[in-house]
Amino acid sequence: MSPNQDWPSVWPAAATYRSSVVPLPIRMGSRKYPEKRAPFKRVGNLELLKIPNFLHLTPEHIKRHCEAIKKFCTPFPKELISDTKLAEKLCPVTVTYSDYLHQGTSLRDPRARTNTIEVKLHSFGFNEHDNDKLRHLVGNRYNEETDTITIVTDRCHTRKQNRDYADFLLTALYYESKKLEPWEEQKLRDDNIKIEFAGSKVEKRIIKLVEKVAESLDGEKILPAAEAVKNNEGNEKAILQHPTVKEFAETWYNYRNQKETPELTRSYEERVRALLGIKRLDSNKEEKKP
Amino acid sequence: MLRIPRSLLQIRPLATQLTQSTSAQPKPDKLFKKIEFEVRGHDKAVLKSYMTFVQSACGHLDINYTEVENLPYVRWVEWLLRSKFVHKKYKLHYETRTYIKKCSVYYITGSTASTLVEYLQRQVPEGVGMKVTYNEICAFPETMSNK
Repeated sequence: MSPNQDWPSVWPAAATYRSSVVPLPIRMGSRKYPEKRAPFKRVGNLELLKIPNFLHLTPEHIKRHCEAIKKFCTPFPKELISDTKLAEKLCPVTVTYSDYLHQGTSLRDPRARTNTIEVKLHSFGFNEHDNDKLRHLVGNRYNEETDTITIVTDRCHTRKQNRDYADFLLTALYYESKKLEPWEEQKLRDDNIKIEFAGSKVEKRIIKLVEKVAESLDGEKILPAAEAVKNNEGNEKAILQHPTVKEFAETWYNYRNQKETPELTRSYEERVRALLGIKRLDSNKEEKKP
Repeated sequence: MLRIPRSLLQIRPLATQLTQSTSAQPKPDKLFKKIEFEVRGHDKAVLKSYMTFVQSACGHLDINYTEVENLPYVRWVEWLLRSKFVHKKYKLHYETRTYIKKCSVYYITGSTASTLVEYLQRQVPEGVGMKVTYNEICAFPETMSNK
């Protein structure tokens, strides 16, 4: 056996181990005291026959196989890798599906028919009303943190049918959210997904409070917002436009719409203090605002 | 056996051949963001060798690939009584371990994917199962195109 023999020609495809052909000094077998006696030699060794060998996939084999199949490969467009915005604009939908390969009684695997479609909400190009309606239609399939809608289809028998069904769902969602039905004008504040500051009781209370303070006080200690009222002679919009009230509105919105955490509560407390002019006891010994 | 001369035999073409369309429009290539290969088997060494083959093949075909990820094995355990009768204290412990390895390739087209996946799937050794997960990126369905 020549050491320069062309191994890919000797062992072209997957085959069981033949000790007469393979020139390597391999030993395999379990011994009670391996340090005393070496594992069994390669000639007539059943263990070497049992395990799958990779003698048909040596580096030289792989190189030749890849040379042969390289002509069927196409390059991926580099612009889509480098520019993520372009990729999102041209290919906003991500479809996930699986293939299963195993030894079994049947060639088919029922798990192969599921499709998972992921789309980012902003890629639809909707205005506020359509966005809102889509979110109502889609329900908990929308993830706010990642701004993705995930649709899983597996009710049909084949993967293609499930894919077509998912495409149909996307199209239906798109056109339905664009439509404006007559019963949509009956939408109440309770139907909103988020609790808005505009139109809330807090807003009304702040306005009333500021107005009362503005007319009752003599000028000793004044709410920051009340100054605006005094200056502009009582205008609701002016109160709401005041930076302190605006900051309060933002913090209140975050506080009401997110999970309550100590940090969030503390920031809410800061804003309430800023709005009402209540200073902390330890920092300032002055009397609290009534 | 009676031999019928060929001239008397009536040869009718298959129905499928008649209706086959010769002018099929070539479809645009699919685009895959990621294809993940997960192999499961009882032999760790076989899986390791297979993964080195996968990585080497991807290298030759100029495909970006990730490192091989080892997941914890799935264990099936059964104990049987060692004795025919009584002696609950003495048992035999039988165990099966399914080792799992994962590898991904990124940013490939449909034709590259089909060649690579077919090549890899043909070379899967005995006793190893494979799961291929495709993450395809595509545009909105055609039914949505006219706004």
